[in-house]
Order: sequence, then structure tokens, then C-alpha cells
Amino acid sequence: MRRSLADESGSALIAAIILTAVMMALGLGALALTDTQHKLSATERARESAFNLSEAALNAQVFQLNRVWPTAANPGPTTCSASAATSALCPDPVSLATSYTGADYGSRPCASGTPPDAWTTTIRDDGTGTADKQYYGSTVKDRSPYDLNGNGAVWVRATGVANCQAQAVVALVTRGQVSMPFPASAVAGNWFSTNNQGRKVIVDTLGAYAQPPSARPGPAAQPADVVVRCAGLSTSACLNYAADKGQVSPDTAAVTPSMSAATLTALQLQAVKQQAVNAGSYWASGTCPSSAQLSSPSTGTWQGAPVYVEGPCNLSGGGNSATTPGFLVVVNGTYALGGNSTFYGVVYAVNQQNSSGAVVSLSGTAEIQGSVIVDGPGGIVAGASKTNIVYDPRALSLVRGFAGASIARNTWRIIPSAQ
Amino acid sequence: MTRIRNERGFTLIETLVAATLSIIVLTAVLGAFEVFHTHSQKERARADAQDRARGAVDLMARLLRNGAGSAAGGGVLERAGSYDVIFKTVDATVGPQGANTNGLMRARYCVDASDPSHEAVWMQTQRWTTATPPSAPTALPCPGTGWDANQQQVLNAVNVIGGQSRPLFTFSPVSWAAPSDIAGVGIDLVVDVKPGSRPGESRLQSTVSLRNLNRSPTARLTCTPGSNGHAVCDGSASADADGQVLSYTWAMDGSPVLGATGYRLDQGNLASGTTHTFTLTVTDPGGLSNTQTQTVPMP
Repeated sequence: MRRSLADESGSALIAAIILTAVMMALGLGALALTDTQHKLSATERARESAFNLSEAALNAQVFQLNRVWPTAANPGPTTCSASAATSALCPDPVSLATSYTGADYGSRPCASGTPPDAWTTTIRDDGTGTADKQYYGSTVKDRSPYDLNGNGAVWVRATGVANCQAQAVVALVTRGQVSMPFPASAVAGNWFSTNNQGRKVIVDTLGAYAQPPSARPGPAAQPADVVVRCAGLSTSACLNYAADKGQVSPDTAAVTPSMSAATLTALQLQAVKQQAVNAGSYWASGTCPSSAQLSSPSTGTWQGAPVYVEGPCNLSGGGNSATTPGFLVVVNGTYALGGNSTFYGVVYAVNQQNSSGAVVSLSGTAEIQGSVIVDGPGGIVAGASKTNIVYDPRALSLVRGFAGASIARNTWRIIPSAQ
Repeated sequence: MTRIRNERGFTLIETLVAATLSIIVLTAVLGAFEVFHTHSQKERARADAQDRARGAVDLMARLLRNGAGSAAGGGVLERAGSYDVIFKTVDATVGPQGANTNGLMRARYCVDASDPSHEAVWMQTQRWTTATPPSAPTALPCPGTGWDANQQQVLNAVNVIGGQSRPLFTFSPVSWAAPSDIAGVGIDLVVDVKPGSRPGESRLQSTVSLRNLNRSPTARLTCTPGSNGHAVCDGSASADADGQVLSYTWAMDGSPVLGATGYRLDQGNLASGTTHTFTLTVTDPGGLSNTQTQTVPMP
């Protein structure tokens, strides 16, 4: 018995080791399978997280463009990112960081080529040709970070990174403009007057004298109004012209007491002002444009942008070309045009000073081709020497306000993050 | 030396007992091994099926997100069935193709349940180099003819087989009338390597909002003849289904009213007793428009 117990021969240990090895191999295989599944799920989750962040950054960038449009006077930065978003045109990094927290969005070392920031956005001009309209390759990346061609469209690209997975989305963002309900009048104010009693056409309500001749209306065209509110005045005082001598031709002058004393509401004025701010043609309170600056008011390239003068200013002179008609808004002040200057477009005096005198006046052979509108108790002196006011209905299309920015349909894309 | 000379061995009974015990242990171990191996194989097959299905749903969602509407109709989907969708999309990895400067392609996803033991989800694609897309192939079988490429994306779908009726695609809004109305697509893919046995089905779901959908605006016009030979038309009730800013153009008696670009038109100098036709056209930023006309007799 003692000998038997002392005998150390046998194979149990070897068998146990073999069995353990087999079981371990099977266990490790199962573990590897589970681990692979876990990694695939994690990668997919990270991709979705990165996509969500990139889309949020894109929308945040569009929100900023909704407030301020990038122009030559106010270009966007080369790149906005989570760590460098100092421009007013960049998305708010705090807001994005607050909304996108969690393990996926923490910083960690990633392979080279992965963007270092959690998110980045870029603004680029959309180019001019059809082929340029597409967001492919480096041609878009190398363009200006603002609306260079002034067509009211820029590309926005946003990248989001989560757990070292990068996703990129792009969209063409267009500037919205709304037309203002402006009266189709040659002249509108509280009163209207000419400076002589001679037989001549001083106000052409049809546009028969419009320049260039190609702008003149066809036979079916309707003449525009010369309309006055006449508040606190007699009819003879508020329509002071020689009707029998054809000074308003065709004569459409009428007294309409019900006409609103404020042509645009405060909200509509704000939209027009934002247009001017975007275009760099806004004159804040206390600053007045010179005659030369009125001739070439816009520092941007946005054709037809309004020139918005807060005042108080008594503006004079100016004039522009038929190919660059303008929309002059004088909030507090007057406008006088003399000599042989011609202003093409709409002159709108808000008359915040509540003057009952002449707020817009013409003299000499000066001419306004478009429309003249004066709010409140103020009036218009149309001049004496020639056809000083020529109605041009095309000018009213310039009366537009900034209505924010939005993504143009059919341009939203997921693109490879390296593109 | 003592050991070598020791001729003692196991008795027959000892050997039989040991052999019996060994057989019992080995049988148990092999049984466990067999069960483990079988489960492992099933799990691996299930995991492979899930991987493939996940990749398919991921690609499907990406293509749907990049879905592009046509300029004329505005809708993204061209066919919308529970097991069959067709849509145009942008293949951002390829880029412009000739005159097809948007890099558009057409994709179809459909379910082939003709083999009851092997339900498959197919992806078919059509590409072109012309500026105008060709018509979509109309064949209903899955996969159908007329497509440039056919790819079996999922092999073990069980949305239909076994008497099931689980739509692969659902759409929103629920009350859509035409595919162009659809603004969102739900994907519900069910896969099972061996229906009827464990470990059972896996379900992958996703919901995609069609970001490039552009629906037509609606023009609404109310014209009233006023005093002093004026007619006032109000188009402020016009609306865009996507909430975008509209632009307005007006015409009177068939001729454009120059400068009239607001939602309101005040047209004067209209003779008493005449009748005029006013037309409002509203256009959204995507270029889709709608027109309404009203005739106004002047008092």
C-alpha cells in the first residue's frame, strides 16, 4: 500500500493540461469573435456620432450665416474649428461642446490624417460656372471664404470627429431675400410740388423718358401714381403743380388720405438695414456719406444692395449709372439732388425727424429715374427745369430685405472626409 | 533497479474501471466540445450575417441621405414600396461623370423572396454621363433588368419568408400620396441564418430623413377691385411646403408687371368697366414654382 501511494507514474496531469488547452483555445476563439463584433459596433457608433456632430456643425454654421452674410467687407475665416472659432461668422463652440459630450467625443490620439479638432467648418464661394457648382476636389477648398461673385450662394463644409472616425458633409447655402410691399408710385409723400408753372413734363409717370430707351414701357404699360396723403394741408397745397400744363404726364396725381404714413414697418426696415450691413453700405448714426460715396456707395460687389443712412444727415449729390441702380434709404435726414446728376433707383426717406418740409428735392437738370417715397408729413419738390422724375418700375425690384440663409435643396451631401 | 524488477501491474478489474471512467469523461468532454463548437459556428454565421446586414443598412442610409430630387418634381424617391425603392443619389466617391456634373446615379433596393429558403436584398445601380438622367428601368422582378450593376447586399433576410410580412421600408409622412411627397424612410432589416432554430433573428433598424427633398410651393391669390381705378392683389397666403422664402412675380392680362416682386400688387389706372386677369407666380429657392390666376372686373 505504501509502495502504491509512493508510485508517481500516470498521465492525469498531461490529460488535464491538454483538456485545459483545448478549452482555452475555444474560449479565446469565442472571445475574439465577440471582440470583433464589439469593435465593428463601436466603429459604426463612432461613425454615426461623427456624422451627427458634422451635421450639427453645418447647421450651426448656417445659423451664423443666417445672421451675417460673408462679403468682401466681412469675409469668413479660412477655417472655423472647436479650438479656433473667434470670428462672428463661426459657430458657437460652447454650444456645440455642450450638446455633444460623452465617451465618443473625448480627445484621444488618432492616426495621422484624422482632423485634430472635434469639428471644423469652412465657407467658400460657389464659383461661377456650372462645373464649379459641385463640391468636388480642391477647386472649392481654394476659393475665397465669402460670397466673392455676389450671387448669394456659398458652400459650407463641416467635419465631425468622434472616436477617431471623421465624417464630412457639405451644402450650398443661399442668402434669402424678400421683396418689400413697396407702392408702385412715381412719387408718394404727404405733399408734392414743382418749382415753376411752365408747360413741360416734370414727372413722367409712365417711363416714356426712361434711359436707356430699351427700358421704356410698351403700349400696354400702366402709368404709376403720384400720390399724397395731404395730412393737415389743403389739396392745393399738397398737390402744388400745373396740372393743366402737363407737368405730371400722364396725370395720375391723387390725394389718398388712407395711405400709410410709414411705407415700411420697423421689421421690414430692419431687413433692409441688414442687407446694407452685409454689403458694407450701411452708415451708422452720426456718419454721413459724401457725394462721391453716394455715387459709388457699396464697398462690396453685391449689385443692387441698399445704401442705408441712419443720419441725421442732409445728403446731397451722388448719382449712379443705369447699369447699377440703387436703393437709397435715409432714415433721419433729407436728400437733395442738383446740377446734372442722375440717380437711378428708389429714394426712400423715412423722415424720422418728422419734418413737414421738403425731405427730397430736385433742382437744375437733376433727375431721379425710378421712384421717390417720403414718409410722415414730409414732401417732395420735383424741380423745374426738365423731366426731373421718370418712373421706372424696374427699380422697385431693388426694394428687398435680407431674409436669412438656408441650405439650397439638392446640395446637401455626405462626402469623403479627405475630400 | 527495484522498479525495473517490479513486475506488478494493474489487475483486469482496475483496467476495466479505469477504461470505463475514461470513456465517460471523454464522452462528456467531447459532448461539451461538440455543443460549444456548434454554438460557436452558429454565432460566427450569425455575426457574419449581422456584419453584412449592418454594412448594407449603413450604405443604404448613406445613399438615401445623399438622395437627390429632380429639378422638375422635387421628390427624392421614384418608387416607394415596402420591399422595393428607387431613388437618385449622389455617389460622392466618384464625382462628376461627363455631362452628369452632379455625379448622380440611380439606386434600387429590393427584396428577392422567390427562394423561400434564401431571401436576399439586392442593390441595383444605374449611372450615366448625360446631363439629363435616363429613365429608370421599369421591370418589377428583383433583381430586374436594365440596370448597370447588381449586387446581393444581404443573403439571409427573413422579412418575407415563412409567411412573414415585415416591410423593409416604411415612409413618412404616413399619408403620402406620391413618392415625391416622402420626406423620411424607415429601414427595418431582419436577418436569420437558420430560420426556426436558435439563436434566432437579428433586427437592424434605421431612419433616414431625406434632406434634399424639395416640395413645390403653393400660390394663393386674392384680388379686390378698389376705388380710384386700383386693383389690389394679395399673395401673402402663398406658402412653401418646405418653409423656404418665396419670390413673387406678377402679370396682368398676360404681360409681366415690371418691378412687382412683392407679395402684394397695387395696380392703378384701370378703367371702369374693364376686366383684367392677374397672375401670381411664386418660386422657391430650388426653382419650383406654382401659379394662380384671378380675373377682376373693375367697378
